[in-house]
Amino acid sequence: MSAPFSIYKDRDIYFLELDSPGSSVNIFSRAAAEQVHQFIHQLKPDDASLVVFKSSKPYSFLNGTELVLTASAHTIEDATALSQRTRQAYRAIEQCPVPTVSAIQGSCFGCGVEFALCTDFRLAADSFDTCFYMTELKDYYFPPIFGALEKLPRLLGLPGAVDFLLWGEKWRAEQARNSNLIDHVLPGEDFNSNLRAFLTSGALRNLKKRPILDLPALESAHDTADRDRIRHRIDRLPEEQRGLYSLCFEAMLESLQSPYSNEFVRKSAAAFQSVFQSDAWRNATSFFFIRTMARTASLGTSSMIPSDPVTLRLPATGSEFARILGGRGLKGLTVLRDETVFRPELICKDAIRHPFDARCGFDKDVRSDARPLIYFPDGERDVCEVFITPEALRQFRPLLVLITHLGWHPIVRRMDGKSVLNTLVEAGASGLRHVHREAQQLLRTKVLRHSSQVDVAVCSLFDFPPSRGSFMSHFAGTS
Amino acid sequence: MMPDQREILTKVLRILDEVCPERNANATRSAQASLIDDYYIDSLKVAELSLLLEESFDVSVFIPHLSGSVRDPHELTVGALVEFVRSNLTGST
Repeated sequence: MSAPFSIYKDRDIYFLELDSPGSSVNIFSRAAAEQVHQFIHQLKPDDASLVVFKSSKPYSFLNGTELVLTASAHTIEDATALSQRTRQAYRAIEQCPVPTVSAIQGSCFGCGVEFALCTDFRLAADSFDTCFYMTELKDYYFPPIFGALEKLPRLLGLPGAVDFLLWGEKWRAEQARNSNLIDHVLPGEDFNSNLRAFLTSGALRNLKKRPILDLPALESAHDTADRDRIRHRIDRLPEEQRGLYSLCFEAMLESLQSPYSNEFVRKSAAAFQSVFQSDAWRNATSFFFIRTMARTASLGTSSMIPSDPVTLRLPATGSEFARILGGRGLKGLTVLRDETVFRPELICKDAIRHPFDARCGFDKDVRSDARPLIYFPDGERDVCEVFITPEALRQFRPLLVLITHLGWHPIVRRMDGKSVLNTLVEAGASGLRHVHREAQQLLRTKVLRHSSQVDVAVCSLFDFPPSRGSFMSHFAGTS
Repeated sequence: MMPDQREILTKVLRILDEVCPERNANATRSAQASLIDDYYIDSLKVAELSLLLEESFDVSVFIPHLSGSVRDPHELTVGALVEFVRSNLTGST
């Protein structure tokens, strides 16, 4: 199997292009860490003017490390050993004798963000597949361990760092630039050409090493009020989350005083130790797999790469669905507005049109007729329901994969019958035990394929915290 | 009737072929093969594999529980997965 990074030189710029072998997303594997470390170790200051890290994997810049391995870390020493190569590689990038650039297109999650924070300049594509998201606390209930805790408050200021790291806001390129996470935005269309033009324009000719931890701490007049507001919000979190969020926040405050202080090290280590091997951490980590199982149960694949480009023809005006798809382009998705059509149509590569319905907003009587239906009951919730036959799913799968890139979890179910999401919401009025009972019925009658689909729906509809793991397992035996 | 070890191995290898079409060229298709080094299994494939095994054996096969039970990721072999499926089947009967 090929090496994770392709390394080549164009004029005086080195490019390290990541394409994780055998995976639909890029991960910073042990092999990738080793390759980066060795490359930088041999690099001399005069060898190049820049080192540019980019991805050749569609939709993914860097999604994380080898999560599958983390469960085998049973002690702090195991975890330290497991993360050692990544730490060394990240440190090598920080100390690289040549200025470094992250050229980001696609998802940049968790330690992917921390990777980018090691480089001296960050630029990103203005496209819907480019998304910055700190997964650690929100998804895995674990403190970030590759530098985000100390770097983000210095780079973004405290409120921005808290929004991004503690509350898990997802940022597109423009917001990332406005928040100071990245330095520059390039048009998403034909990103590689735009990147080449930008690099050859000389805009980065005088780029110097600029470690984030050398930046002065941003102070704001509202700091005290901000801190009180944040502490108040932490106090309202579910009980099992409060301790970790509080420790991470206090470590972030400490890092603003001095990122190298013993007190920062003590607080960040305390955050790590407070959750390592805890039930909440194990549950939250499991929930990542549950989400992926739900996606696989719905779409028939765990891959995040649509098998074909998608073209949609939508009514010219008044389409809420068009708004959901976004005003700007998602790579692989072409949206045509057409005043001659009254309902959305999927146009396949063989030019055959597949009409479907899209319903946005709560509709207690929603049902599909002969056509597939995509139902978004609540714009504030990131779950949607897809009524579809297995045959039609083959045509619609690329569209549904793209919808997941927009942040939605599609729950695919068979064509006939009442909405699953409405059923769960109605049962929720009588309490979560009733939701569990209804969910069991949906699984018994095979309206849904797998319990993970219920877990994801309940997490979204009722804010059931991932730190409690699978909803269906949590309530097993109680109803 | 509960399938025996050989039947489980056959099914597991078939599903692995489906989920992980790329395999280490030097790896043997056997119980000794490593899920990580030979089948290049990542977190997405762990989830997909869990789902397909659950449906094939009609029992919970949540592979993150298996990876949480080993000290060394190299212990995650096809044989360990077969044993995990077998123990879950035994536990469910």
